[in-house]
Amino acid sequence: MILPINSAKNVYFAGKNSKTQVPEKTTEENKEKAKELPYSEDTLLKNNFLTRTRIGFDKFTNALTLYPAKGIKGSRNSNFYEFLTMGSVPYIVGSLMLMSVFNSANKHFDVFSKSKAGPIGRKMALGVLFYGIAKQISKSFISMPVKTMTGVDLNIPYAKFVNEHPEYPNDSDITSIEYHKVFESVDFPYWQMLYNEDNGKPRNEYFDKVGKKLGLGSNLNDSDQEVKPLIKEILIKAKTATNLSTYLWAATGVALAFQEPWENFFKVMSFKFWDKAKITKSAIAFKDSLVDSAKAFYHGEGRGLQKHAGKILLGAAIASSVLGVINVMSISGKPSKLSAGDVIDNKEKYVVN
Amino acid sequence: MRTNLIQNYIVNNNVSMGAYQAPDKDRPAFSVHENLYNRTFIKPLPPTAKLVNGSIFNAPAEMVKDWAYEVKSLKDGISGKANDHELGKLNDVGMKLGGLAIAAYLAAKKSTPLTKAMEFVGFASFFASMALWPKIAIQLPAKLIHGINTRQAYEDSEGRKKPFSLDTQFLPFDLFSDKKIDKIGDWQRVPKDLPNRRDFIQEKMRMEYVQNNTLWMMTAGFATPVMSGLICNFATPYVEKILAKHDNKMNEKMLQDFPDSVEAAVNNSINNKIETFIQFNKDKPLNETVKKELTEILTANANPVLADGIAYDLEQIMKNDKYIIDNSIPEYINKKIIATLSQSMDEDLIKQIVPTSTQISEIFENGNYINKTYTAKEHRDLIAKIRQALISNVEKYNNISGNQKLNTDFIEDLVSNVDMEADPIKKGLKHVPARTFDVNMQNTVKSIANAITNFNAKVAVLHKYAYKKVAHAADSSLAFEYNKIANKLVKILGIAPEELDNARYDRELMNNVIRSNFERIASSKEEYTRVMTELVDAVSGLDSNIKQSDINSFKNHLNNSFNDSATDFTNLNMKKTVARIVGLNRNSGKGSYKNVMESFVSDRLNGVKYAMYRLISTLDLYRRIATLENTEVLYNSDIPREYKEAYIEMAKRTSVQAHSADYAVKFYDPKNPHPDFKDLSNIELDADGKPIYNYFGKEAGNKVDIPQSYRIFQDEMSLMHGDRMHQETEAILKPKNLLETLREYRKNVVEILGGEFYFIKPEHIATVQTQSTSEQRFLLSGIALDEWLTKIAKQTHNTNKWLKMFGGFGAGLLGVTVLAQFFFGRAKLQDDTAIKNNKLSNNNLKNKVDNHA
Repeated sequence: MILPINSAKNVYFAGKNSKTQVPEKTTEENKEKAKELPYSEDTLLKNNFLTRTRIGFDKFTNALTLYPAKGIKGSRNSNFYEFLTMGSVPYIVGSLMLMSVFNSANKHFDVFSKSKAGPIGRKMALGVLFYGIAKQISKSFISMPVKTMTGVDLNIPYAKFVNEHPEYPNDSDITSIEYHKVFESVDFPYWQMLYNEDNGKPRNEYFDKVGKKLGLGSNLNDSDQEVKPLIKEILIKAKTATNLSTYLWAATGVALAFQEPWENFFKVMSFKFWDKAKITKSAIAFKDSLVDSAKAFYHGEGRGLQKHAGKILLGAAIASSVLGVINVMSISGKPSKLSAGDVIDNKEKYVVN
Repeated sequence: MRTNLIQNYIVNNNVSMGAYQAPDKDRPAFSVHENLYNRTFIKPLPPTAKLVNGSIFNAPAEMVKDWAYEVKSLKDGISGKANDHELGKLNDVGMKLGGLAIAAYLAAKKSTPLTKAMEFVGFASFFASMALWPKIAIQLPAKLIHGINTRQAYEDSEGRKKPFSLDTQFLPFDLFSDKKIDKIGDWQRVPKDLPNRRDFIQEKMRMEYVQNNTLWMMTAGFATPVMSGLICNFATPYVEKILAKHDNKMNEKMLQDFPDSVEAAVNNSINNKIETFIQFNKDKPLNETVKKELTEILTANANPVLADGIAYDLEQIMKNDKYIIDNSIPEYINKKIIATLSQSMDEDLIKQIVPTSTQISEIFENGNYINKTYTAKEHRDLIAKIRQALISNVEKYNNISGNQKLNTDFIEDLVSNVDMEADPIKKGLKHVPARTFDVNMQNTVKSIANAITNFNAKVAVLHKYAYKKVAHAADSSLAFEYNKIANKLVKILGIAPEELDNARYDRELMNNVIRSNFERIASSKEEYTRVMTELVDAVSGLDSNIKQSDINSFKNHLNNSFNDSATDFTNLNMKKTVARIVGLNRNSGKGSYKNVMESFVSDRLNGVKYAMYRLISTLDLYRRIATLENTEVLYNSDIPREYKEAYIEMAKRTSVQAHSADYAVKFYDPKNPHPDFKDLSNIELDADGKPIYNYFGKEAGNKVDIPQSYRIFQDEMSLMHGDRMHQETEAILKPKNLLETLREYRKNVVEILGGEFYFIKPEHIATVQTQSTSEQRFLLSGIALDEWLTKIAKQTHNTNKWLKMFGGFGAGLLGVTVLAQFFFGRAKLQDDTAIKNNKLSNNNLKNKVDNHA
């Protein structure tokens, strides 16, 4: 069911040229609304730490508050983006829960069982933490070299201005902002975001830059057409490598957390950040345990597979990233322009038999 | 094969196409019809998407299809041709790959098969939980409440399988027939006469999909780890059982195919190292370095006691008593003398007096000693001659040195020593043994290496068998059987879980729990028969799973293997090695490696069995007291009633709590030293089968241990272990072939535990004084029941606590998740009204649009 839009004057479809389309006579309410949103059209954002943090925070808070509230009411505006964003909730809740499963019951155990179960539970918790950290960090093992060597930043964010359905008659709160990435889809990259419009710079600046990095030379007539297929290939290969290698790194993180030396850290572990002495001691112990654990993980104990398991896992993780990057860099070379057969020449007449 | 757009159009519409009219840019008028005509063939193919109805029958086919798709995705991903859907699939593949890597790594780090297996169970259960939770908590209730399938999949026209309800703003409802939608509407009680019924039902479904998706995201994080933990918890005993069975079978097979198993266990590293060693050292003098290296190779990884034996024998076999003088000796002696003198003289001086290599060489050449052995007399002569050369050098020096003369006797003393090692000349002359690492010696060493390799292989197999069978390790068959009985014990004894839980920290409390429960069991014939039957069944299970015949077979292989190797070593003249492996006396095998292995198995087995026997014997004692049958001491007319009561208390407490040390000190048991000897009456029982005490607990004055009265000890031993078992107990034991075993056990307890000499109470001997080892006594006393149950109680407490916490949480979460769904899909009641007034709203809309226009 689509509700009738019975206050058409309150609705403006923002899109690209929203500024020109905003009706002159806006209600007070709409003015406020327009002010509230940080963007009034789809806007390319800089991929820096500040933006990433801001987007992350925005998505995280929405995933815990606004989106579930909309979703559980069955809102017609609850879309796939919100569903995907809510996907971070089970990750975080699940991690905390996993830590809890291994630790919460321990305090009810007797001293001996507690002493046995404690370190296992804490290692488990640390493992969950390291899984997440390793998975996040390892993404850059692919994206960084790819960006350096090709100029293609896999993670350029943009803010999407969304027009929503009215939820009820006279609903004027019908716009929202979503944070996407230009290259989140390999089938439909948001190319439009990469062109320069109205700022005096060459329209194809981005594609010129990438083309030059990829060795297609400068002064290309239509660099966007030349470079787009190459960027697509880079995206696909890089995403393939990322999808496979990050989980191997995550596994390496878990394995690192399961080393004996961490028990030294657990003994002095403290989160009392106001107690300087304790937190310093805790930090030093963490550093020492990290170094010792890394050694223990690498060298292993016992013999055979038991001894070399760490090296094998680390080797697999490194290999997956390195091979991934090599594969990205071995793009099919200079693209041929579209072959004559693919182009319909408007001056000719075609007959279908 | 798919036809192309144009062919498809022609076939379906049966049209004959004219020439394509290129648009004329200059043409002022725009003809819609012409344009439409020109574009008609550029229309999409009819969709071929379809719903995928998963069922148990097509699941394997779907699985294979999914795998094939994953492989294709990987291929496309690597070659840079994948689409978004394929990349999404690769993410799932990566997640499973990572999970598997974690499980494999952690399993590699674990030592027992169970813990290794559980890592994979954990991995599988986690992924299973991720898939199962939405099925159980969302899909099933949604199907029952709303008649919709929230996990409906469909295949799009490109053949890509996707979840139907993932993107709720683009639901391909076209794939649902009217009939299907109507059915869902009927289920949801949508009025049949509703105008635009399909639209309304679809809207309701959309809402439900959104709500269920949200519910899934909100609950999965809580549910998955808990569910995974619960699955692992429930799976553990089954995995354990399967592994134990499999392990036991493999272990028995290993022993049945003993020669093959030995062959498989052969490690040729010693043989190979010897071969290499021979290559580099053949025909070299058999000096200390060569001997040491050979010994190191041959004793590598051997048990240290055995290694000592082998080393000793090798020393004897390679013993040197003859030495030769070769060209290296003069220089060696020269250096040795310099080294000795340098401790007390200046370097310059030493150079002037020590005989040079040439001088020493001349001595050898003059006597024609080069490359020859020498006799003892020649040895003495040579020493004298070399010393003489030194002395004459000293004298020459004295002649030219003026006043600073050296004392010749002093110098001679410096280089003379009775100890060969400290005498440079003696040592030098024995530097090169006459014996070389010749073919004979090489063959001997090869034979020894073979014998040791063979022996090691046999020991490895026997060791593995013994370990897997009875070791004090989580994965041994014995541990599995023991745990099996321990897990059943609380249930068999009928102890209330709360009672057990409350007593888990305190031995005395636990003792009270055991006592009250044993008294309860013993007071009723039915209950006693039930408990004893189940207990005996459980104990006899141990015998049927760890068969005596298997243990005997192990002992046979052990004896044969060790004796065969002993013969091999005897033939090689390695007496000490033989003594170490089978003992000086092969029949008794005293102090041998063989006996250690044999007794390890029987002791471990007995240790567990005796714990069970003690339990049976204790329960029997309670039954005898509760019925006053087979309790001769309690009917003895010489014993005062007060002591009879004390004996009962003592026996009940000791049988539950005592360690072998309590028997060793003959029980510390304070009693009234002046009981009423006039009251020799017998014990009576109350209605619950408990003895009625006239004295116990009511004594006035101090009670003391009475060391001179050995009779008390004898009476107590007799009451506990000496009297015949209750006839009901015997009737239960007999069919299980345990009667004689239990009798034998109780007899041993009386004789061995009761027969130990204690110098403070020398007369306290139950029947006869016996010699026994502390190991024997330790095993015989079994495990104290209160300690055993305390351990069980703690474990049960931990597991139950966890289960209660997370099982409860899981159940609560499931409840809330299911309950929530009853409120789904109905929030739009106003829409119902709107739809019922469909005509009105349409009119309104029309009016408003008109107004706006």
